[in-house]
Amino acid sequence: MNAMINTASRNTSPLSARGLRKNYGSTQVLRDVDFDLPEGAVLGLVGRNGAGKSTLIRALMGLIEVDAGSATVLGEPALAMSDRVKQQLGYVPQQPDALGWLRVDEMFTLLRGYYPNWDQDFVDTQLARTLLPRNRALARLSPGERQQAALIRALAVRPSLLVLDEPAAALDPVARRELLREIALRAGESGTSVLFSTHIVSDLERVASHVAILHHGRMLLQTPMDDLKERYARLWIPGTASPPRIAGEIARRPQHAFGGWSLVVEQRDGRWPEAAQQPGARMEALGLEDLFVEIAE
Amino acid sequence: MNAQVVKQSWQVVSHNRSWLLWACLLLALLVVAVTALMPGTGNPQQTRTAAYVIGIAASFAWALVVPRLLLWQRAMRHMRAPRAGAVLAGSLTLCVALLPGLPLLALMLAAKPDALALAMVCFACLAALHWATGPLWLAVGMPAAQFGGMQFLIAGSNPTVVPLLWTLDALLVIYAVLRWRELLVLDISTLQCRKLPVIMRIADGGVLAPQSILRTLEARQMRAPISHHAVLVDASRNPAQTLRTWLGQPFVPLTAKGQLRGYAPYWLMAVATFMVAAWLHWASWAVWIGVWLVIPAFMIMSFQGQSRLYVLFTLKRGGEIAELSMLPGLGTPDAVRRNLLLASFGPVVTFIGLSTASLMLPALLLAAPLKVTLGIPVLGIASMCWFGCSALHILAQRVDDRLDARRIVSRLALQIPILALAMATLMEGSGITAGMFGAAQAIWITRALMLAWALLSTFMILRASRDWRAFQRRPHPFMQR
Repeated sequence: MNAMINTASRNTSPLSARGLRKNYGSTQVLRDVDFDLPEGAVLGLVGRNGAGKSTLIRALMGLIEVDAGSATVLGEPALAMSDRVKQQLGYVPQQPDALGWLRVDEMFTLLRGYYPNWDQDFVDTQLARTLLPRNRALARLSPGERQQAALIRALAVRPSLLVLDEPAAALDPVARRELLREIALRAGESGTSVLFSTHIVSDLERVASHVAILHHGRMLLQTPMDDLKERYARLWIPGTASPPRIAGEIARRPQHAFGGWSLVVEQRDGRWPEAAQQPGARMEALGLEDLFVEIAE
Repeated sequence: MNAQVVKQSWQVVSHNRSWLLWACLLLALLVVAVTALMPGTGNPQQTRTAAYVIGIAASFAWALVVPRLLLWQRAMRHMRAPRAGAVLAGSLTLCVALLPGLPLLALMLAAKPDALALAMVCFACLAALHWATGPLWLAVGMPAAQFGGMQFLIAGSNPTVVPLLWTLDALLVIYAVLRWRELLVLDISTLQCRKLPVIMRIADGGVLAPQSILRTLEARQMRAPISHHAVLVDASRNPAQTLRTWLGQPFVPLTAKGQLRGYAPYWLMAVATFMVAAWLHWASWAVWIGVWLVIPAFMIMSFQGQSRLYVLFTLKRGGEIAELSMLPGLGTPDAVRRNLLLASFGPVVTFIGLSTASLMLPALLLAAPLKVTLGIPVLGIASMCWFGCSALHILAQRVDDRLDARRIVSRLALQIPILALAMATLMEGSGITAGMFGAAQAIWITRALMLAWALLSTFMILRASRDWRAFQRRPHPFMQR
């Protein structure tokens, strides 16, 4: 697998990282990850379970002590975010379980004093629409309801940067579609930059403008969605012997039934690898899900 | 009871913290040996003191091993397993035979204890059982009754106490049977933490791996909304209060009504004990009862505080602390550090301080012995320091929750001496060591204890200073490892 491909602009990125490395004991969770979220983009971070998505997001938010590297949020170091940055930031962790002993209403009352752009109308509208019981303790909500309450909170601050760690994991299909619509709306109308992690590829295709794939702690690719089909393809190469490594190769695996090898390759300088021209080789377009499966399997 | 049942009974006991049973048995037999070897064997006070210490040893087993048989029986019942009743009877018989049976038999052969001493040991076992399986009020009251009440009895009392104590033992046996039956069929899935008997709160995990216990307690705690808490409408002006709200129980700021509901029953119980004792002119006993009422309160408060911080800062990666750290308006990292210390230390230190003061007042009014009167503030200050050091260790992110041999050994190397030291100090303070070894030897024990406390304090100060530097070095206090 080759290095990460970075097509984003580094100067205006509201969220970026360089050389992030994190080990838990002998397990390498992040391996020199570089990352940029383009301004106004909706970037979907995909990866298998345990790929390091949540760790990366927590490192980007300055929530964990990394072994190497640094991250910036809206131009400030993640470890020393000022109130100015925090007021523009909406963040929902994977399991939003803060303030479980407060009622839904009390949680919003407590928080609104901290955010100058707090949108109480949005909160009221969303509470009415989602039928979340205002008088129930947060801890007594179902996981899906809890996630909805956390999302309302994150969106109520009218963030310029929205970071969501698997936001749709506990949501029903209707709520998930509503969330994706809201994300697209925020990005389109307010220019909110959004990073969300998921392993539901269809969600990504529905709303993301950019995609990043994290695998075993390594950022394999980060690119605009529109470029995906044009830049990546599957290359079938016949023969039982392992073919030599080629430029632009991202992943490979033997295909015993076919009697050859399948490689995921990337276009470089507008050209496909020369190996595509060899006898018996053939190219095949890849959808996002196929691409993800090919390189993450 | 056939051989198969006996074998199964043995298996059940040996799978339920049997190491603790053996350790308690060993300790109890050691006490008997010391009593037999000491000059003046046969003196009723010395024999009662020995019985009291055997009772303490046995009570650990009856608090932490025997009630686990209830958990086992519940599991068997849920699995509809056959012969559970017979195996349980066998296991219980085995436990009774080992502790207190065996040490009591040895004591009877060595020192001929009187009926009061025997009744005291039975009471200690039953009190421990009710601490583990009883409702909250009984769990709080039993250590005070056992440790404080027994001290009163050692000193000698009028003859009517003996039948009264046997009657109390009989009543406790009846209640234990009824309670056991009740708990056997109780649906605990929706019960709040405070309504759970102690043994069910600590059912998952053990001393070496408290994480699963804490997770269970946390899950139950979270399901119970805190009533009468004070939610600030303009919270941004008071970051320390916001942090307290965010940290959860026992740090949440409560309204006056909430404070009353939370603490009033406890204070009333302590005050009533004092009133009765003062009326009967049992000054020393009253203060000791008070001490034993307050010690569990200190421990509960300190444990609640520590475990909550441990769950927030160590066990839960991400989650609540992540959300809190993204909140604007808490100030600079230094201000957050200061407010976090204030929010986490304040409520616990205030509670322990008020408890200490409320205990000092009757101790002075009742003219309790100087040793006891001075012991109360020492106990309070030691509890505050212990909580402070432990909380700082957690907040500095220096707690390692991984379990390997080195970490287990280092944890035990701290926990066992502290527990032993605390028990020895309480026994010394209440005159048990003097009763067992005589006044001359007791002076040396006092000196040894003081030296041990000085060494422990030095270690804790060194650790706290390292933790303090680590806490200050972190870019912000919510960053996790």
